[in-house]
Amino acid sequence: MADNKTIRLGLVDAINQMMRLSDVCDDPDHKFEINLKVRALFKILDRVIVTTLQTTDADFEQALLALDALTQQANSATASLTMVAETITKAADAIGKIEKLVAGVVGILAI
Amino acid sequence: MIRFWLCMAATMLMLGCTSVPSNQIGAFSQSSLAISEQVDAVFDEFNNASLERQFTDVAANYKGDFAERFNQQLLAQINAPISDEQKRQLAIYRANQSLSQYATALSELSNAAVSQDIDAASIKLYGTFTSFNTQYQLLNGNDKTLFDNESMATIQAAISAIGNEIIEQKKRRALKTIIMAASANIDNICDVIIEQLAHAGVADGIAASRKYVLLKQIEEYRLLSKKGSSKLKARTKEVKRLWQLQQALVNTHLLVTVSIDGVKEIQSAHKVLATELAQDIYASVAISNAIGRLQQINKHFKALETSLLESSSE
Repeated sequence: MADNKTIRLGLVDAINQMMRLSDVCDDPDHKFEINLKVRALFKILDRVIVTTLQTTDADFEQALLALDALTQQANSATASLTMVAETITKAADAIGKIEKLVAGVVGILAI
Repeated sequence: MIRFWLCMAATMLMLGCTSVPSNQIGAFSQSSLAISEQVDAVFDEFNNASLERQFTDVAANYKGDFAERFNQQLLAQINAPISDEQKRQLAIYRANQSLSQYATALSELSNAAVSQDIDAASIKLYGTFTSFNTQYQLLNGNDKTLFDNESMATIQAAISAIGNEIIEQKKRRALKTIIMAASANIDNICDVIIEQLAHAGVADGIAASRKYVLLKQIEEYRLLSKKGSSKLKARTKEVKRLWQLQQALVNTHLLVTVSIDGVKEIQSAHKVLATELAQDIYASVAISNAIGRLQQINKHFKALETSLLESSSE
């Protein structure tokens, strides 16, 4: 069953893969953009750790799928750098979906 | 004058007797308090690791052509994930606070030398039971309590009935009443802290932040080493520092594991204490062993904490 841990591990995987991509990316602007996305993913990770998410929410499933898609895309882009721009767009999509999920939880810090 | 010295001698004799139960129960309380502080330290480390990551992120990315984008707004975005106010609202933090308040009050009771101090410490301990109830309700999200009104009244009545007995006897009875009454509930509150520590993912958060910092510093080391102008001695020093960061990263989950083990030992030692006190045994090999294990785990954590601080201080 999906829970906070699932999304937490999804975030960690996505962050690690995006950092690998940043490491091999040779375009400074793209590299900078990737690093901004890594920062945003980390901010969400910090928040997920101290928040209890509603895992039955449909948005939760969407966020998980978006994270998984991002990790796979970043993995492919590491081998083929022409896919970097597309990966950055996918990262923005995943970040938006998880932010929506986390933003819905106001003041509940129940760990 | 002779009467005065006789009274003094009698008082000193009675005070001297108090140290038998005080030593072991006091040691239990002190060790429990130290472990409870370790649990807090895990959350502090979560904040510190996150802040370190954010500083490194800004410093690593706003350089060269991007240096001009560095501004005050960026600095304003840097913050600790758990503010002091939020920390006070965390259920695990509050449960842990209850546990440390209990340990502190127990320590005060075991060290109390006069009747009034025993009364004050007993009342304080009774107050921690109310705190347990509040935190337990918060953790479970319902109205269920650890101590029902009837058992609270029984404990209060038992403490009141202790009255003005000889200090040592009074202290023993107060300790026995409170520790036995709290036993099952200390067990429950420890279970909740263990469960939350194991599943909140704080260790994952700390590890992810530490890994980020380490990778960025390795990146920087590669750049500096490529220049060829750096001295071997300086590079060796830097490699040693990076190795320490690597060690801290590897030990991250250990930090949480040791804290969980510590809370488990409080649970176990408190059970031993309650069992022994039920038989009116206030000092025994079983209690010594339980306290020894608590102190050992506390030492382990302190050593771990020291090595972590050393590696992240430069």
